[in-house]
Amino acid sequence: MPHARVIASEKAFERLFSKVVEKFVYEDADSADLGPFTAGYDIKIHLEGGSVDLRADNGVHVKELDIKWDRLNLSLGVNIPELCVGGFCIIPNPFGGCILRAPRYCLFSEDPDIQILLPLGGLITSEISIVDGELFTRYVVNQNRPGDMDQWDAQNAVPDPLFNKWQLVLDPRTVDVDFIDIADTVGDLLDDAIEALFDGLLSGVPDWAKALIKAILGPIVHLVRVILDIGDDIQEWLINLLGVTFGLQNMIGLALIAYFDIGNPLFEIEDPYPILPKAENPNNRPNETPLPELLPVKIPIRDLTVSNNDVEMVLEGNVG
Amino acid sequence: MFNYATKDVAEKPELLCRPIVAHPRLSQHGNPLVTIVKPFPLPGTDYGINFSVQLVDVKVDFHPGNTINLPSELQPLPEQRLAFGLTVCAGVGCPPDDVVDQLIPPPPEPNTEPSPQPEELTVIPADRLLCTCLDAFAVGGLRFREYWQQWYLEPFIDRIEIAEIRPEDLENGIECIIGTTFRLGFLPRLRVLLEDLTFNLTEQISLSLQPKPAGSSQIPNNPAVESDELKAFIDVDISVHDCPTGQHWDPDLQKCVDNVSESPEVR
Repeated sequence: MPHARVIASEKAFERLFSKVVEKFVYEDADSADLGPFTAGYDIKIHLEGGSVDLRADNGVHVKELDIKWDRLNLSLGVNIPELCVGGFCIIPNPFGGCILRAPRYCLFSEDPDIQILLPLGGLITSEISIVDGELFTRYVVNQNRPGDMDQWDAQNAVPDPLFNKWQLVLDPRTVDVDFIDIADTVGDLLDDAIEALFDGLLSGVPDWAKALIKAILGPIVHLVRVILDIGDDIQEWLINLLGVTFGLQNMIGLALIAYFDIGNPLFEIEDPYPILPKAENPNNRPNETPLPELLPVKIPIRDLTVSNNDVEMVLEGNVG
Repeated sequence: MFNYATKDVAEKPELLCRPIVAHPRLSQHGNPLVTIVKPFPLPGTDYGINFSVQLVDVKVDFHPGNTINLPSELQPLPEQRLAFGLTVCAGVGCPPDDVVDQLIPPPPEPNTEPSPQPEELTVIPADRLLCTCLDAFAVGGLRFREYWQQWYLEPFIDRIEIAEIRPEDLENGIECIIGTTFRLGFLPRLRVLLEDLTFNLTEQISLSLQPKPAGSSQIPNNPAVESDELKAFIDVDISVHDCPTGQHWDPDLQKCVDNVSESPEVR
């Protein structure tokens, strides 16, 4: 029988987990040339909620951990083949050449011609699941502590004690990031952005030229969608762009695994563990120089292990 | 932990009834092995004598009890109770007769005012203590108590018995002294404060637990002392302190403070 056992209910463990995970923040930005167009993203996420399911097989599952997009800006740069109108001859010169030509207007001479910024933060529903997590304990040696320093000197190190620590860590092992849905309104958002940009491009062009350009190009929204290869389902296209092309699902999943594994234990305790705090010297006398404080009473913790069943997490250890 | 003696005895620990085996680092850090107390007053005199009291052994046995052989008066160990086995050693520095003879006060000098009572007792030196050790047994339990808006898990005792001494009133008196000292002096030191335990998660983030005893009809005994175990059921509130980069949460100061460099490595 171990000397000490701490048991946390599934509910208590869930609260502990949620408090730790809510500090997870992931930010990233990148862009790529995808042939007919360029695309870039700028994201910042945090996580909320999540229901923890402790499993009888010692596993830990977390479902419905919502990804909250504090920022999800998608930029699309579309290059449209240059189009020029006008420049035709109004009054030809009978002896050759042209006396008067119509003005010539060229559009889409830049690359990219249209730079679309879509703020998708509030439109995407996504969540993370930890499918096969496992709890474990590890002993962390204070790196600043010299190898030959004993517990007494570590306790009295200045300016802070240099004690080692036991940590309880969740290894998520497998993380499933799911972009569940993008709101229908994203199509309107894209179309409105294209129309506005196009109107901007044509702002200095006379009406006859505008009519001519629109007659040649057809609906600009359709043209841009064709260039972007959006097809019938813009939601699917966006999820594919973000999740597969940019690999955001993988990156978010790996970031969460690293968050738990590298620097964020569920909790940690110092070793040896204080059971009585430092205290005033009982032999102090009034009006005399105070004597040194009593050292804290601490007990070494060894063999700390963790396990769980389907209703609770169990930490067990020995002292001495 | 529980060694009390007069100053003379503390300065000559070889006089103690039981030597104190302590790690040498305690002395290096200026920590005393003995708490100094005032001498035992001799009634009707201005003198006191040296003495010491040591709790030299403590054993604890949770219900059903199988390591401490309780005296018949305390058997059987009731449910939800634990047994204490104690060994208490006490010594008095009984002064030699010739020293006492020299201290016998003369009659008051005629026609003079009596000298005022001294503020401090004069300690009669002793080169050894008369020691006796008693085995005592107690039955008690554990309970949650709130002091100063904080919850503690604290032990208590119901009854104490020492080995049979005659006359019975003397036994009762000694049991009273040991029991009262145990209740007022020793047990309060064994309280476990369910204080805000703070666990550092990263340099910036720390986690505080605010525990309190769980109250539920599904928990008939809390704390429970059964099956050779002590079980305490606790509800916790969890809060996270998010400090700026370069700072960490100080639970004593209840605020973020600047870091001292520390970066652990995994073994």
